[in-house]
Amino acid sequence: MKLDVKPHPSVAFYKTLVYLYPKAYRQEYGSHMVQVFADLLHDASRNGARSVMQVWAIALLDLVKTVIEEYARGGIRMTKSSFTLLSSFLLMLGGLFWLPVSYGQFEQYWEDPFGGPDILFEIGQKFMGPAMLLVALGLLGFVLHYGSRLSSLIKANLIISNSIIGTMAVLGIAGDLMLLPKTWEWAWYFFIVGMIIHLTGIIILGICALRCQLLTRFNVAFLLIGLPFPIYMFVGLIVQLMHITPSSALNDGFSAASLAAMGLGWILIGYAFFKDQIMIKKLQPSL
Amino acid sequence: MSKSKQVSEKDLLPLTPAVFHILLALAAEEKHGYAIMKEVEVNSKGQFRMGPGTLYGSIKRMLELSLIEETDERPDPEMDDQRRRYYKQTPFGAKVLKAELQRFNDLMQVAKSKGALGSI
Repeated sequence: MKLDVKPHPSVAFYKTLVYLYPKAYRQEYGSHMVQVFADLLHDASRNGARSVMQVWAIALLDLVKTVIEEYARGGIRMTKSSFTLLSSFLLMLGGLFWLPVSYGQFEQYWEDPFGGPDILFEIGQKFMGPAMLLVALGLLGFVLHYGSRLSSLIKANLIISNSIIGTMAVLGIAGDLMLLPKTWEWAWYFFIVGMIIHLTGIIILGICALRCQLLTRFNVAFLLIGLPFPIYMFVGLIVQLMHITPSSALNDGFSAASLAAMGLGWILIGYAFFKDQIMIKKLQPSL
Repeated sequence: MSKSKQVSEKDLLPLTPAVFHILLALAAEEKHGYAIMKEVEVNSKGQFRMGPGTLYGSIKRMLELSLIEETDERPDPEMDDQRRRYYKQTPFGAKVLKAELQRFNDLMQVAKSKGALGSI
């Protein structure tokens, strides 16, 4: 790609994600990785939104794998501030990973480019375990950073909420890796109950965040994460009790919207968390 | 002292798919990162795709092992972005690629003798 070609708007986000790599590696190769990614997106954008999403999906999975590899090779030397900074990126990345899960809900209405009967849904599901794991890890840093401003009760609530999603992530990834029996009938019920407990914790945190202005921006995003999915489940339950069968399009649309809201919410929280830390660093230049 | 003097080509086999494909992509001429990616995609008929992280992680390790090196040469400076880095195979890299291809060939012979190739 020539320099005068305007890069795809989402390249800026990838550039931010490259901060996840160790500093030395990033300084040596970061700009070249961004250039290659911009070239990939430039070519993919000629083939439409699906190709762009495919490039993003490959790049995200590649990013998670290679960030771990680079840290493992270099030896992990992490301070509290570098861990909390990393956590803000993990929350953003976790949020981004929820978006393919949401996208997969529409599978049956769109033409399948890969040929399988429900392959988009299946691909979307593969992002769910990593998304939950990234959020769980990101929340650890969040508690570490904001813990002093939270009451013991809210902290305990957050730790329970985080343990639940962490456990679900590990079981979800184990399931994806075929480490669990395939016909795991109660997995779905475990997921629903786990999500409700986790999201209740996030709603409680959201109310507290709004009251005490925990973050400098986007405090309402906790409610964006926490509310839609339980509402979807509650409405679904009422509809079932009333023996009404909603159209699949409506059901899947509602489900996709609640998952997309969750993804968007974590991206906003991660970004606000990141900006708060940058602001503190600017206020304390000597630290 | 370069690692190529300490490590023989056999020590590096089998190569990871990324390293093998990058060496193959650089067999004929020097290329920058994105050109390597496109070449790998063509050579593998679209079956092997790398993300930017795998590409540059592999390049970093290949530079450390002296399998490839950076080059200042530009195929056509007017057509290209000067900030790009170009890479080319080293003589040691060429030897490693040849040894890997020889390994594939030996495996093909074994498969052939066992009738595993069928009608291929």
